[in-house]
Amino acid sequence: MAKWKKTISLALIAVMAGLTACSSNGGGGNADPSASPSATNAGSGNEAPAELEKKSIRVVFNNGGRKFPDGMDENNNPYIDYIRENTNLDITLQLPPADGYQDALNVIMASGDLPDSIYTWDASWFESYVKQKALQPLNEALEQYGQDLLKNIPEDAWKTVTIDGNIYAIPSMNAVPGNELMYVRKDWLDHLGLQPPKTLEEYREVMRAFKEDDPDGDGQDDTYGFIMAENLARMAPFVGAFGIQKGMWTERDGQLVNASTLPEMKEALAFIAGLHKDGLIDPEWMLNKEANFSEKIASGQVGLFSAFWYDTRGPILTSKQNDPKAEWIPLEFPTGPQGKQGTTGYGYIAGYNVVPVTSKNPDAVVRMLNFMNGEGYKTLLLGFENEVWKTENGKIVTDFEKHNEHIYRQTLGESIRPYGAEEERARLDSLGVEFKLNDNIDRIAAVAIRDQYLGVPTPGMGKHQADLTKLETEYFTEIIVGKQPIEAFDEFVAEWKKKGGDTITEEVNAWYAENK
Amino acid sequence: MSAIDAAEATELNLNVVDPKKKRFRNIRSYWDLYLIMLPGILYFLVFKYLPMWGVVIAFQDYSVFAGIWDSEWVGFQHFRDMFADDDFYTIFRNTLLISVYKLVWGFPGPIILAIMLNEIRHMLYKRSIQTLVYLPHFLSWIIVGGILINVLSPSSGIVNKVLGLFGIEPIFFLTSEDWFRTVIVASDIWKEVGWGAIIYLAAIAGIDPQLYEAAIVDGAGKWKQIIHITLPSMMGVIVILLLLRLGHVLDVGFEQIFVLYNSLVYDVGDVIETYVYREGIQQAKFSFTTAVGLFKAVIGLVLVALANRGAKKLGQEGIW
Amino acid sequence: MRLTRGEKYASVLNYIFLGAFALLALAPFVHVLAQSLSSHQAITSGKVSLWPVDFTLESYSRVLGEQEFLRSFQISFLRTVAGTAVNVVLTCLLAYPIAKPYIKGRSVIMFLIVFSMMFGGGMIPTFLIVKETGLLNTFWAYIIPGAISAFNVIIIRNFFQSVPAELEESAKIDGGSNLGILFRIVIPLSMPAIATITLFHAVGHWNSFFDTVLYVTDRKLFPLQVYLRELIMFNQSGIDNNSGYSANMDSTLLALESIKAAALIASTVPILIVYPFLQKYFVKGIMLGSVKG
Repeated sequence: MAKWKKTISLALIAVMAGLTACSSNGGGGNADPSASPSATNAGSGNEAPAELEKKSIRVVFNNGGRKFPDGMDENNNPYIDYIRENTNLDITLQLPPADGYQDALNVIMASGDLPDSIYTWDASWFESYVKQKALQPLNEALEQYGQDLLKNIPEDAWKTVTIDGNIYAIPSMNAVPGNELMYVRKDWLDHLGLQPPKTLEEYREVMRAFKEDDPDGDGQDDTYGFIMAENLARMAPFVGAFGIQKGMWTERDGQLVNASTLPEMKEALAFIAGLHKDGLIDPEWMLNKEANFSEKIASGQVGLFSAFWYDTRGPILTSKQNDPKAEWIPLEFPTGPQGKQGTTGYGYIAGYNVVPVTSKNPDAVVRMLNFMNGEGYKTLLLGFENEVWKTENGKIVTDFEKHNEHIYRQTLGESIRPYGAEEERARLDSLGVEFKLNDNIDRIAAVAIRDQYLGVPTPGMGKHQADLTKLETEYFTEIIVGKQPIEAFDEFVAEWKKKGGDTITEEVNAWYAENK
Repeated sequence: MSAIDAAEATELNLNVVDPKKKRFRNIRSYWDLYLIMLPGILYFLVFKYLPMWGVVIAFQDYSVFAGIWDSEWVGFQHFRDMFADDDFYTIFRNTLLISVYKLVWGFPGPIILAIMLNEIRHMLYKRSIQTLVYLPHFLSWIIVGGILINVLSPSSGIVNKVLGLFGIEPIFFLTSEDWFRTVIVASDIWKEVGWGAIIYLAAIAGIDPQLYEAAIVDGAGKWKQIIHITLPSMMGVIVILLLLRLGHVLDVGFEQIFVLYNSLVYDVGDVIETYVYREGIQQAKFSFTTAVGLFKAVIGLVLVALANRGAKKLGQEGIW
Repeated sequence: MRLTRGEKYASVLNYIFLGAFALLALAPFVHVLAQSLSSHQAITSGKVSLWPVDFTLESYSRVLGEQEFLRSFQISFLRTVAGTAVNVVLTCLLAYPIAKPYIKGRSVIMFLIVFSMMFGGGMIPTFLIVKETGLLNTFWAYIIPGAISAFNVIIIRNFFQSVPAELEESAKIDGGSNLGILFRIVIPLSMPAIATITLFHAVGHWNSFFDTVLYVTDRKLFPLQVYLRELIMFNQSGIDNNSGYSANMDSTLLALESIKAAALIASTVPILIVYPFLQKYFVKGIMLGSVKG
């Protein structure tokens, strides 16, 4: 029965795809070269836009709360005109409120009046609409008009959006490989005569000294060795020292297993629980939200923590403003007993551009995205050259006032970001080399541990993942604070398997068997 | 004028007029009152009852794209899923406990506050206090949560510092299973009591001052006036609000719990709303979310219906 | 009026207790106000409690300085005034007849109203109705789908019922019409209750943002709450968003915490001002005699 349904829907999709091909064929009159499936020059970027058929499309993006300058709006500004002119498309943008965006997408889908393209960051949302057969495959349009996209987006990322051989979304890439790396107060180390730590034991000693030996020299017991945040955040480098990352799928003997259930996780928890037991971690860590967390760093209560790569512009900067003596340096990632290092690596994908089945213009959507991702990306990311930025001595210099005025352009760039674009580095440096943003990112990239399951969320994940994550957080927190002994980890693994973990493991390995 | 006179006349002769004529007379005398109800009734039909077919998705595997007609029917599957969940009973118990605590401790709060405010004679003081106590209602739980975490901190929070003066060891209010519900209930009362009192102040303002004057002549003291005049005059509103409150007995306030709870108090703090958030909303499972909502509504409706009957037996108005 | 000694003590205690409680209610507001006037550095270092540190008006100039602030403020103001007026009028018109025992079918209507409080069709069916009625992307989408609140109808009906029947009867004998009685006797006597629901609705309109998410895509119609939420989201650091890194990375270092605080103050103060105006209806009882004549 299910198979029958699937056949019908595949047939329908094939018809749809055929129809779209026809429409692009018939509509343009003299558009022969672009309509030919074997056209080699199509979409390569050097083709004059006028040769492509003029079409109108409606596109939904998330603008993340960016403002437009007075007198402009999403459909009336030089950047959208720049795309329109270069693609010969009549594009209408729609930007629902950033807060509540996913809800807005759901009502758009239910409305029956669907746009040609929708951006979402939510993998479950994407998966659920693929399952509902609400999205159309883009293979053909991509082949014809998406050469830059195919070039700029890596194979592994395409895997994530391919289901039964059909590409259902054009992904936008994550700009960074991961989040966390260790930072320490060098002035505290110097004051206590310590060297930057490398191994777990050395880290432990630094934490002990920071807690007990009055690193700020004020004669008071007012410092902690380390700090973490709610939901087990900000401990990735220590887990990484055991070669894994919490919750990530990782290969063992040809099969994918969830790292949270591995013996390495138990060792990592034992290590962190030991720190907690000795009072080296802020005892209120499980309550720390972003604000309290930053506050404790900025006010000089902590001199060692797992920083986000941009914290050099956040709490670390504030700490320096508060205390001119404060000098922060990045550390080597802690090395575990087996000589391993690691931190949480991000997935490739930041978002999905999808085309509802009702759209007659998947080709036009691909043309637009191909331009935004390829030729147009630099301008959408950095702004117009010689207006927002210029090159001086081979370096990009940004006019920040103009940059902020033109900030709305980034909605367009962010929606279809290529992988590892050179411009990203230039841009981060232009924010101030003293923040070492690129350096931080490089350090993370060197040891980032990535999830080896690249598929869309499985049905089992949809059903059990939230429960399993809660179970994990609950057990791990209780083990770290000593409410449960480390042996409870085995109980956790058994319960995890029983509550749906086994189901998900099977699904994940079925995918792995096909895609490794 | 004559129509009204006629109506008055019929009211006096109810027994002799036959029912059909009676209804006609009734409509003729009060046609304007029937007419002014129409916009309201129309509103409820169009915006509340027309969309109500939406509840059937609780029995479907609803797909937004397929819509209500083409979504697959699954019967009571979502309800079975919900009851089969190992955690559901813990969650249900937590919800009920927190809700009952909020009801028992929180419901009388605004009534008492309104009466206390009413006893203030100094007008400016009264008005200032009134304005100040309703301020916390306008703060989001995110802000209140941030403040609470600081105020209740075992190491630096003012509450524990004060307790320390009395030689009490620091209490981990937010991570202790013993204290968590207390914090939830107390902070909710603090935040909403001033806002809740407004409606009772309105009820008190409607009391005829002559009643108090008469009581004073009879030699009744302040306390007696409160017991015999103020409270009885508020009783209608109190009963109605209590009834309506029962209809939402399984709603404990998502935002508050979500901001304040943490992995050490899941066992006592996880409630239906956080469960739905985890299982349904985060993953756009409309059918499941609707099923849970339906379950909550049925329980609420049963409670309201029972309480409504009880209130009528006790001589109160009731809702319907 | 003579008070007994016990009553005097009780009265003093009452003054003290309420004063203390009011201060406890005021403190967080003062805290937020102080934050809104402090530097980002001072806030994120935990230095600000009840008094501004490194006094600055920068966050207000950011929140209030944009053209969009004025426009969204106007929208919020308009919807609050127009919406509340519609709410209160329709609520009274519906509540009065069902408060009267001689109106047929009133308990059925009451039951339907209570029922609608508990069972709803949910987001998408309601959206489809709003779409069918042609309200999408119009200012009316803020007014009509929420034109009446069941809760407030029930409250107002209850207050209408407590107006002594003799008053209405004597008015009737004096030749008053049904509607005349409603507007000249019942409503003036129920002013405290009407002031209450006016406040409830006004606050509700002022604070609402989700109907914009669902029904409105035209940015010119975005109300203040949506503007402020977007402003905060834009400045939020990327801890819980998936977009790789947040927009904040690009702006010069913004004072997020003080902007949040300033946004809260800017959005709350206008609606707080409503209360003192309505307060006169709460502070003293209404003289029945004065209406009778």
